Amino acid sequence: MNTETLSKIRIVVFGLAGLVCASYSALALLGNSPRPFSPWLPGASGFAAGLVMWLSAISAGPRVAGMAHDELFWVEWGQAVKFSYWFSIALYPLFGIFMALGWIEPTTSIAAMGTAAGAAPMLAYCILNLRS
Amino acid sequence: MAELHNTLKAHRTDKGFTQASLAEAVGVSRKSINTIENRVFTPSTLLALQIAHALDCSVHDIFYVKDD
Repeated sequence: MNTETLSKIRIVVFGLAGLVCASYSALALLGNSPRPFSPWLPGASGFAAGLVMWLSAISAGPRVAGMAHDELFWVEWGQAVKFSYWFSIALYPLFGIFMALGWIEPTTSIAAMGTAAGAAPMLAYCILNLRS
Repeated sequence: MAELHNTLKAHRTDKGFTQASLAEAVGVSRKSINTIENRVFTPSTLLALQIAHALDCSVHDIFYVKDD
């Protein structure tokens, strides 16, 4: 396995796990339900993503894994985390307004905000990486 | 405003390196080399020195500041 393959695997697993979390958040919000589908799925997808990346890095070897996780990766990941930090902070006043207007229940807010905050760094990284 | 420019592509091809082989030589991904050449990504001092070492030249030969 080479660096390119390892980088592609990372994008795919981050993208899939991010989409599962974002879908959970969006469906919770749209349906005003804290459980739009199995609540284990977002966590399981994140765990599976980590496992696939770890196993891929192990099979590629330390040199190739290091090349795939070079400083460009850490710069882009850092930008994604910075964005998701402020995105997650911004969710609090936004969902506060939604709850104050009676649009959604507090339990739905927790589910939607939690999964949106989880999806943000993974999807932001995918977008940054695909743009560069 | 001063901007960092580079002549990495010219130096790399002069020395017979492909993006992939230079990336292998300095231990980064091919995309890192590509994004440095296209001025999308600014490398750290360490990486700039490693690239210069791999291409057997000074870091000043590859990277320079240009006032726009």
